[in-house]
Amino acid sequence: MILKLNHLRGETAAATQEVTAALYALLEEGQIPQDQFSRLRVHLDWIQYKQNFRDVVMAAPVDPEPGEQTAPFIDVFVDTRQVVPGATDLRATILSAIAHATSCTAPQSPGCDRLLLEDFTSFRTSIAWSFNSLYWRRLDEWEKSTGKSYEQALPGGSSDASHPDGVADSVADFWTLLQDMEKKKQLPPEIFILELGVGAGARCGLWLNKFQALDRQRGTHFYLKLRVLLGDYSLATLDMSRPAVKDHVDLCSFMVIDALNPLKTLSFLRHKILYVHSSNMYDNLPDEEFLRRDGRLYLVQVRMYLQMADARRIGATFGVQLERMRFVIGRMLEGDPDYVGYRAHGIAFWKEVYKAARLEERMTRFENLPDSPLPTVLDIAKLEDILAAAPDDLRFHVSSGALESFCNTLPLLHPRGYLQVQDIFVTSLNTYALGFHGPGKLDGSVVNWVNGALLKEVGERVGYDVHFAPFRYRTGSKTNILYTTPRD
Amino acid sequence: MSLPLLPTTIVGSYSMPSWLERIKAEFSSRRISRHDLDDIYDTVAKAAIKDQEVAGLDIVTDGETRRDNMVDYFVERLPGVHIDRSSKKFSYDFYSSVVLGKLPLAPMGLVPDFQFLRAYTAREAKISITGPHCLTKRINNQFYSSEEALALDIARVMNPELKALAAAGARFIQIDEPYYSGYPEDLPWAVNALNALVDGVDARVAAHICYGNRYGRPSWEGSYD
Repeated sequence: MILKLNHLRGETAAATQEVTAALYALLEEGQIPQDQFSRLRVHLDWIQYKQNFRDVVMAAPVDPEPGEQTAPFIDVFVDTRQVVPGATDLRATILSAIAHATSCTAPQSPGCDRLLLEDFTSFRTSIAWSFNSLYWRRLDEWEKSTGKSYEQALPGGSSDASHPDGVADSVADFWTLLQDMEKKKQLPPEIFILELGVGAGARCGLWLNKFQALDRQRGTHFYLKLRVLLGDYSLATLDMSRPAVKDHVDLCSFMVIDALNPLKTLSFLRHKILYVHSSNMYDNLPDEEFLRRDGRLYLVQVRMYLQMADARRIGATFGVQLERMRFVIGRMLEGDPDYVGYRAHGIAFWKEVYKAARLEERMTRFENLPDSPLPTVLDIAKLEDILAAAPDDLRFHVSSGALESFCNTLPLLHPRGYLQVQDIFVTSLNTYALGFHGPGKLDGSVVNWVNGALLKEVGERVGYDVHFAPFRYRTGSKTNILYTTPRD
Repeated sequence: MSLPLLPTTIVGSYSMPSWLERIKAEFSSRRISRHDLDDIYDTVAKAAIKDQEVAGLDIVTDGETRRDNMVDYFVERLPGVHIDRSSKKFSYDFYSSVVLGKLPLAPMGLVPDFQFLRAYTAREAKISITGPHCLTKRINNQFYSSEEALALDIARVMNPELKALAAAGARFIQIDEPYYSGYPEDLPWAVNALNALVDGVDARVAAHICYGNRYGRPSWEGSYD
């Protein structure tokens, strides 16, 4: 057995001891056969998201080598945050998880203690993202039901993107660029800037206020040349952002934009935009996870489920029969929580289901997949090049959605333009060995750390150096600021 | 060979297939030999020539697919220029290079490229040369008193190579100067260097000036209108 301590904190030491003691007891009692024991990799994580998709113990089978007849390799993931020393029946929980990993790989079978909500699929195509999408479509109703806004639900209660000092520095940097371009007679008659993923519009409004003030103070005349594009895939969100930029609305255009491919809407501005900004958008785009081990690449496939006890409880509360639960959830995800009953009832059902939703996993060899799950901007040869210097046993995000968005935004940049993204980035592949990086649940949405190291490598290949700066304006912030500089 | 009133030709390099970039990386990491790489280059050049012929171009090139990029191919052939071969990650990146003393005169080895092209097409053939202004902008000058002085000396060193190309039958020589657009203030001396480069060269000389297309994007904003 290989034990991997992915996250070390003093307060989890007791839980760690409890896990190892439980595993050895199961071995000594013969409940885990010796050959199976030797093929376990046990990962001790600490899931930072209070709401997440993990049970205390999860076991994931790893695709065997062709013709392999021995016990399967199984990765066992333990969330030490959920382990209550002395209270959690770890032995039973571990045994049950391993048994599930070895027997419950088929679709819903009688006796399975889980209500499966989908078949195994890549995370990107999991219904986890349907929940996420529903959340953004019905944000106002969710917020009404919880009594707090999305931003209030963020760690720290507000978005780092709107920090006044951070915004002031961003404005100053951009003003300096414009000043330099003007000196060199390179300033275009219209100065295009793009905010991708507008949220409530607070950051954009603040940025414009500060830019206007600086422009006046320095006696330059850049402000009136600004053409501000606010882009979001949700028209409802765009409408909600309008009041925040009301003092600058004559400069603003509000556009529905595919976050994965801004170029689709904005191709007429190819090479024209001087500044593109987004915050906390990449971490909310569909993603995949991969495992690279012993020279082989595996896709982490997921399957959403409810523990049967949760399914029964929710069914009883909301008057949904167990056998209809999967169907009802499917209808709800199509956009209609009212399907369950009157509005408030439907919203409450949605929240309960999402809270209880879990993901089980299996590791499928890349060669066994019918199609490449990699985003179009990344082929397997490039990925292998990038991984050449990474640790061998590495589970990492491909950040498919972020990668596509990034690569489809860069062509919009003016030769002197730059992209600035505030988000939770993993800036080195080695960091993946140091802790859990998602997925988690944030309010009704999905959140994932973004593989910044991969973005950096891909950016270099298309002519941009990618840099990361820690967000220094709020102590304890996990945000990094990505910015690009064109390679000459 | 007679040409129509408005002959057609390719101006930039042939589009670089990603598999060829991968092969260049394999060569850099010593996983394929120089011999095999040259063999692949020859095959790719033949394909590029054929493609241009099929497309109906009147004046064809070898596609420049042997070149990592338009700068390094010349910088590494310029006698007296020192290159840090560890300074680039991808073939299309630029080397860091420096000039520490006066450039000596020596052949740059461009004639065989043209002879290969000549051997594989019956059409008019053209070779493209990166000009002294562009090379000056990429080489760290630690010897000459000014960029102009370096550019003029690069022209002095390259001029015999262009004459050798003409002597080998090159009737069309294109000089690429993409950095004119980014540094218009350099034009007075840059044009002198260009004239020095082609002085006495018995060929039709064309100058190619653009806004750049490095990494598939313009290096400077501008319009061809």
